[in-house]
Amino acid sequence: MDYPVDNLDDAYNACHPDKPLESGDPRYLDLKDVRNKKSVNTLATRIIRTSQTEDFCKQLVTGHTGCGKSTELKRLQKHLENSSYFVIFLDVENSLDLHQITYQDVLLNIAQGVIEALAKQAINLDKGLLNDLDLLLAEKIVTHEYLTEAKASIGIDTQAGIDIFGIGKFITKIMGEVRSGSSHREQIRERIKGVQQEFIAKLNDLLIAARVKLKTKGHADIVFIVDGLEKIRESATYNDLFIEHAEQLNEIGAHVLYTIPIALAFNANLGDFFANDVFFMPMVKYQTPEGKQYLADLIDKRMQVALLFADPALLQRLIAMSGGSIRDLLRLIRIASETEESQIKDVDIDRAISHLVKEYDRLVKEEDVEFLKEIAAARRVIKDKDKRYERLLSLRLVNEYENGKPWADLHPALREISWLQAKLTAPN
Amino acid sequence: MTSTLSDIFTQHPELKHLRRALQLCKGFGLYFVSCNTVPLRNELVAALKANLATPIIELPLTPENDIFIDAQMAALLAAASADAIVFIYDLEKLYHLKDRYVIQELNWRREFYGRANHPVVFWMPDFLLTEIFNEAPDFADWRSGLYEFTLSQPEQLSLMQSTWESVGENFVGQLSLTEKERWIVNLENLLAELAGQEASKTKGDLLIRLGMLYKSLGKHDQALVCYQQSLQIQQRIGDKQGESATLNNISVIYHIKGDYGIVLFYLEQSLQICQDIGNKQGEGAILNNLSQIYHAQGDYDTALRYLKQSLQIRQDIGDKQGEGATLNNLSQIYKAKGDYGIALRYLEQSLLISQDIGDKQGEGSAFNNLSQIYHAQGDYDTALRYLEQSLQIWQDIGDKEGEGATLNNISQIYHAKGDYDTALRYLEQSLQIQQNIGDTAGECTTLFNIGLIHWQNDEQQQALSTSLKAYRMAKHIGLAQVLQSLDELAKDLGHEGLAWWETLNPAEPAE
Repeated sequence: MDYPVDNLDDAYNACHPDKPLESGDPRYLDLKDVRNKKSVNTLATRIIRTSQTEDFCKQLVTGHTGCGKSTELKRLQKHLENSSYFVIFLDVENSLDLHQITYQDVLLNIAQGVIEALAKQAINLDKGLLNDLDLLLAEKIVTHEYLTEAKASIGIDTQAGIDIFGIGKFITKIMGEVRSGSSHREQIRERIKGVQQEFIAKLNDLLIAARVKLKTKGHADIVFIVDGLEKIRESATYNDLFIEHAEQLNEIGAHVLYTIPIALAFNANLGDFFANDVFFMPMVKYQTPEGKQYLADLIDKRMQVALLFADPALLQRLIAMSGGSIRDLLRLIRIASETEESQIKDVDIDRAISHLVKEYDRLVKEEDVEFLKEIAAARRVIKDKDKRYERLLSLRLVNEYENGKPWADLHPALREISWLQAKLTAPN
Repeated sequence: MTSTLSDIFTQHPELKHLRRALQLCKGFGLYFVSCNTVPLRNELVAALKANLATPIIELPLTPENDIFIDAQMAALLAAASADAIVFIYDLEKLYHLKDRYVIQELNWRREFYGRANHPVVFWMPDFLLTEIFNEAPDFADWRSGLYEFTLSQPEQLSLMQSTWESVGENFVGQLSLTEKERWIVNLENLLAELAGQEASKTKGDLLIRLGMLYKSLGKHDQALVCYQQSLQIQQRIGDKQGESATLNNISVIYHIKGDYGIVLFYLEQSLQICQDIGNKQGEGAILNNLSQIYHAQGDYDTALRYLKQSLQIRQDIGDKQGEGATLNNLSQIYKAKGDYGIALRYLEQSLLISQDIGDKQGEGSAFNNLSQIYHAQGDYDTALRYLEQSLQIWQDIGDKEGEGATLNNISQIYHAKGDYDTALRYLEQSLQIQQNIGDTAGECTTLFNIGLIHWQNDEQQQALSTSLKAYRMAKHIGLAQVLQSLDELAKDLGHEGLAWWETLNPAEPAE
């Protein structure tokens, strides 16, 4: 498709609320100027600098859902690859059970990630090392009964001389157990816990060996981007992973970037556990002329606004309703494009906005009202002791912006919910 | 509802937009449709099929093929044309079975749908959409659009009428698991349609039935919420009959939770109302339920007195289902007293009635209890046969409480035969169920049994901790049967009796 597109049929498909842009996509627009100058390039620099020392960079990244985080992470990956880094992108959503994820699962995922990524590049790791990890898994982690089961399934596929597939399968099998919540899962985790230091040491041996091999192929270092962890919902789960077991996550002998839930970034003093500041990607400040212009430009890269909107001012109505969330903006355009006409008109904008307002209405609860009122008045995220702000942030009922310093506001759609607005404006 | 196609597009203007969106969407797109009733859904789907050039693949979800939704979808798509649109129905059926997990699963496996490269439309009742927005926000956030469709007022009323007429009294015991789930969905939908309207007898009645359905599936907290809501309505509009039924139903939940004080509190109120308004059927039921508290506390004479009063009333008014239940309960008193002959006779009468009137729950219960008589007499094979029949029924009708109890009883057969490993396996299954549904009395019994096996295997540490847990629980809820067994166990172990457990348990508060 040639962007910007010149008809509504294509415009609908140029605006996806569900797909991050791949790096190099012509629709990409760098928004750092309206994100308080924040850019993933900073992270790339940080990783590259650290990699010139003996240290490993552990970086936490967060931001509101739908603010363009995944698109930016994909850009970071490309940036690092262009600087000859070997980047392993792990989407835990596909491989782990986020409901009850633990640090053991993350360690296993990293081990599996490196084994598979190297196998894909046909880079052979030292056989002794792999056997070593295999042995640890076989003897210490997997029960006997389960071992025979796993062995049997390897037997079918094993081919002479390709040990790596055997191991890959073995670890995949374990990951399957961990993923599916089988009764073995707890057992596997307990056993890893029991031999934790040994397991991490073996994993790090593996990473060292991988790095050595990769350097001979011209790669500077390995970087893991672990995406999807921001979707953990229960605070007990993410606190256990990122606070209770920060030490284990820090011990991994590679640069690792983890996405974290926005609520965690707000409620914990993560600086005590991770050396680097959390990288927070703010919402685009859609309230300022500059922000409005950037968002209009972002849409103009996708579709010819002057041609496809009956009046370009209509787009500004959608931007004003987006709260600076790229995802909400793209969705508003999709809904507005559901017309038989060739241009988006007033009525379509009205309908799109009323849809978004009704959808946000589903999220607001009676008991949120007082707190929303307080936040609206204070124009910042109030960190109350009941942590009510967690829900509001993670559902985008409250958005945080940065304009030199952070400040917050209610999502503009909330101002259009009539029952809520009546309460928000009522005197105390 | 026989509107023509052009009518339906006029009647539901959003349908035009949904059709447009599906025409436009290339590759993946996630769409939600809010539609509370199946007839309306069928109408809308028919209109879309007639007005879209692309094929529509329909995936109705059922609890029977209870696997990841994405696996089912992948199988269907394998044979589909590239531009096919997927309609997914009945997510609410899985939701009622697996609670929140089914929603969380959507949140964490959304990548799958993204890779599917087809538009995916989820059709569901409005309440479930709100759940998804709140519990699976990442998934909901991928939506391209949400389209709401509601019935007009007269359509709502006629639908409610026809639904209502097909729901009889005491219907829960006759339903299979699938039927129960369908009913839960129907009733939830009706209640959603009624949400804006004021309190009415109909609404209270719907809530009682919904509560009974939840209770029969072991979802006691949900049941309690329904009952509390219906109680409020009934008290507001002065529906005495309904109020007494609800009070009784609430007491049943607390009975399962083992809170006998609260049970009495509710039952006495309920009994008073029944006697005031001359509701014989209710009175028979409450007398029967009262007996069960005294039974649990070991006061067999009082229990027997209530049961005989209940039986009299139920026979007088021809309440067959009630008669079957009371006969069953009578048998249990005689069994407890060691009078197996009389117990057997009552049970056989009870079984006959249950089978006559198709009361599955009663039948399962009779089979289970019959097995206990044969077990007590040492005829393990007959006992096991009855238990297996009982288990089958519980599983068919989704009665978790029954399943937990029968699994426990099966374990006892293996225990008696000296096969401790198998016994333990059944006990663990039973425990799992009882903990899930909050069946405290059942859990307590099962814990005692598990402890016993550990004692027999000479696993002192586990034995002690499990037995202590059972002791604390039994003491807390006053479960006589288990306390008595614990007394005997302590003596067998060479201690002075029940007091010994207390010495092991000085500072720790009961649960």
